[in-house]
Amino acid sequence: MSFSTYLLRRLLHIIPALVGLSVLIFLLSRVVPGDPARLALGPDATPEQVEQLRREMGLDQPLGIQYARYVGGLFRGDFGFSLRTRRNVAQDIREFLPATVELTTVAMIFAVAVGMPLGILAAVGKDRTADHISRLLALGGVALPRFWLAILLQLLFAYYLGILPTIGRGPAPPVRITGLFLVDSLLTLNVPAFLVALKHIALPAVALSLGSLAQITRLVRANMIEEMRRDYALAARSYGLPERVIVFKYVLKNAFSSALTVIGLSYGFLLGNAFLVEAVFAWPGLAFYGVDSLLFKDLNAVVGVTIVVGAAFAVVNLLVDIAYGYLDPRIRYET
Amino acid sequence: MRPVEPLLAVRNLTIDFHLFEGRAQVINGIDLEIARGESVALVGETGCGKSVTAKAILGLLPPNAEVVSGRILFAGRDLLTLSPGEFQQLRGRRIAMIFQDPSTALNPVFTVGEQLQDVLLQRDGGGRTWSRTRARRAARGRCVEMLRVVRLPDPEGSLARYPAELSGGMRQRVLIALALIQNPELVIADEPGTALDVSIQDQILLELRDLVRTRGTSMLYITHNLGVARMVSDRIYVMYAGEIAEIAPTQRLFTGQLHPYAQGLLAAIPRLTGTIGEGIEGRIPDYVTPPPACRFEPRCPFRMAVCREVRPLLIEAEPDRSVACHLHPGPKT
Amino acid sequence: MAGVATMTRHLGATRREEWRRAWHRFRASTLSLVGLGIILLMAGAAALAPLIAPHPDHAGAFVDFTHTFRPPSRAYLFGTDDIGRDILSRVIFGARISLSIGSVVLAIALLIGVPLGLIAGYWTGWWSSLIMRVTDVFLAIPSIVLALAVTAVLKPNLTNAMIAIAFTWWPWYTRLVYGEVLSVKQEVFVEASRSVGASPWRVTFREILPNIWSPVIVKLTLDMGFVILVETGLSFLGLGAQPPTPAWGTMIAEGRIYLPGNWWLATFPGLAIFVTVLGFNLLGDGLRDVFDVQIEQWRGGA
Repeated sequence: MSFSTYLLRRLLHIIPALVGLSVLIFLLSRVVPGDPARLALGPDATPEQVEQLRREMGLDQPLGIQYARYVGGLFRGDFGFSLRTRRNVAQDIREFLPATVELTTVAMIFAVAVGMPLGILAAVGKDRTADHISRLLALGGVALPRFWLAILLQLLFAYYLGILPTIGRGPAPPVRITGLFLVDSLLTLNVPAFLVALKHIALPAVALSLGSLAQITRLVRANMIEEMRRDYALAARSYGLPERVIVFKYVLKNAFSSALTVIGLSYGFLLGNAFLVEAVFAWPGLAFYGVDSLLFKDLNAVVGVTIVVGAAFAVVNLLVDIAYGYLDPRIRYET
Repeated sequence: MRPVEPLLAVRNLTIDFHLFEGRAQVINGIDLEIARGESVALVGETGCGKSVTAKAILGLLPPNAEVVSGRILFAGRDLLTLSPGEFQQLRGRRIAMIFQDPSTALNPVFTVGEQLQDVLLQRDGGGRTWSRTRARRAARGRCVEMLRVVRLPDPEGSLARYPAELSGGMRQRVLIALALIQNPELVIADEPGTALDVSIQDQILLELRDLVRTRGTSMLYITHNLGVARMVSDRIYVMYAGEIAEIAPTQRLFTGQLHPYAQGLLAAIPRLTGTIGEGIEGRIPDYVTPPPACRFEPRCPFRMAVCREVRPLLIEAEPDRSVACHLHPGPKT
Repeated sequence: MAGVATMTRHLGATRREEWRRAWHRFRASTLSLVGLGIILLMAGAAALAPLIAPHPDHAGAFVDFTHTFRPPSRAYLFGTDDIGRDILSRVIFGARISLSIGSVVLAIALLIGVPLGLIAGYWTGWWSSLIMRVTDVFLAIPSIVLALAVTAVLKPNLTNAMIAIAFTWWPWYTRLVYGEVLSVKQEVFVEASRSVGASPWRVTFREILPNIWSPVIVKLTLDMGFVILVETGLSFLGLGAQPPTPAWGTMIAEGRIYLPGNWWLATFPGLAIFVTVLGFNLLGDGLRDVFDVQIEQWRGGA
């Protein structure tokens, strides 16, 4: 089948899942023990005030209608009203999303940029020093609790060494284009602002990336070793192709495509752990906002954040699928 | 006495494998000779060590294999003394291999054309990209020609196809093209065509046979199928459990066999007329603790007491025929 | 059918031999043994907590303002915290909490996920599609996020955290089992069994199930570590165990305020988490290495 058909099929797969997710989360949010309206207004509210708020929020309608209204609102970009910040959740999301996007993207890039070469080195130098080091790193990275690591990094670099800021994102560059500090400062060629933003993002990104880094290293290593054992690698060697070409051209391309699925899955863990890392570093992102909303039981916000996270995850997976289909022609022809 | 030196001469090769269970004596002192332009078949059942022999010749043994002793002389040079770099120079250009399974031996993520060109171009070493593109275009013509020679339909178009798009037979032809494109002097075909339909296998084998005959390439066919050996080879080596049991010119092997194992192999072939072929009882020995003398002794219908004590050596029982069996003790000295 | 019976017996004999070899291979890997050792240590500590903790009563509501913020010493190996409790004892009791939560969560995930996966894999049709679609929904967002969302609905305490995590974890097992069943279904011996007229139940339990349990076991072992990471994360955020429960995550959150001076409050619980998760990962990797080879030998035909 052609590439575009393949893409379309992947898309059609995701949409029901997202819809189902929205239903699930919505249902969850409406079966709260306790009354959200009362919670929001506090214990001194009168029954009439509570009732009025309930009517405003539409909580007195049957669930089906509530859901329909909610979805309708979604299409208009309206995620409901946040009882905590007293604003539209959509506004809140728009404000906090770029920080999380920036953090997770930088973390992912770091994980791939370091993890992949490490994995290749480990595979090529199997059972030698490079391999052992990378395996130890990988094991450590997977087992370390991200929030604990974040605290330790804070302690070491921010407190004891004093070279990196402890918390926060730092000041925004004067010109806001995308909301991503690094990108904005680069686009306006504002190098000092770029460096400041970089210093602030360094620790959170590294703390966040370690788990995915470990996973990527392990998988790239395992895939490369497996691929190097395959017949086509042996055949290539038999034709006299130099080892370098075999490893870096032939085997790598094969191993890459299977490594790609790990990147997609890894991103999920990355997103999840962002909730912990942002809390430690007081990084003003979506996850930070989400946790606060959770503790406050601000349900519209929680639903909104969950759906955005689900959509982000789906988008990343779709991108991975695209790349996968591009890299490995078998997928296109054998599906 | 052969007046001309053979192209390939394996002398007393012994290879052990380090397995979990212990040391497996997989190849136990074999001799093999192939003259220039000659097609030789190495026949034996699965597990007898034929593929290991082939890999040893190409220097592609797995890491847990150890060449204990012996020499592999190719055009006078002992391959076992070569450095990895020297070996890599040799592979593909002077000795090449046609792999068994066309569905796994081709790299799935590169087109046929790319794989062929890579093999062809690496002879000149990696160059800068732009000079490589020019070289690539020149090489393209040669690749198309090669595909035509192996009778691949639509050679031009096939260059841009991925292995997944080709049928099994077509992939096998690509494998042959890959092996022959650098014009090696010796080609080893490992169970050629066994992964394909019988009819296609026959067709490809015949084409391969004619192809190498016209080019004067020496061939080593590795197969478990006597029928294949009969079709394509000038001489047959019968191998059992890591040892050579019998060597004979092809036609003469089929008229009469000297080694009991060879007899058993021929009797096992089902014929269209007459009774169902009989199999040989028993299984190949455990290489970690093989029989002390003759390795076929446990299964041999003609076994004698000496077969368990003294290992039968390969001797020339008739002109141009050798056998390793106590039934043919050879000239008394 | 004599053929199938002898084949099964032969397979059974080789299976025993595989077991022995597998155990040998496992023993050969130092890391796997280290992992096993760590887990046994932790499990032992958790089980015998009241006996081996030097100050078992510190794990509950206990205050001793005369011994606050003692650095690690002979008397208090891990030091004391802000209200004078022995951190070592609390860490030991924390092991009990984490391990029991992990076990319960995974037990639930197994009990729900595996049968669903078996059904979805074996019986094709709309049942199967429905189950897999539902699984897709749950897997559409990262587990942590879903668990967080669920905790928003419930009161924050340990039991609810456990429920929330179990809620998000079962789909992984459904998906895993589903995939395994699909591939095993193609195997010849399953077809052989069916052709003899074995009922679907028999086929599922006697033929398919024994062949898919090894990846499940590997996943279970690795998952123990991951569940503990999620649970400690939730506790850290204040959505899991509540003080004074000595859950590792909560201890880190509490101790964090007193950094960098009184470092031992937040460090040792974190170390405990790390070591425990590491142990499960090492063991899981070791098991995977052992079983993968087994699976390949088993299925690749010899």
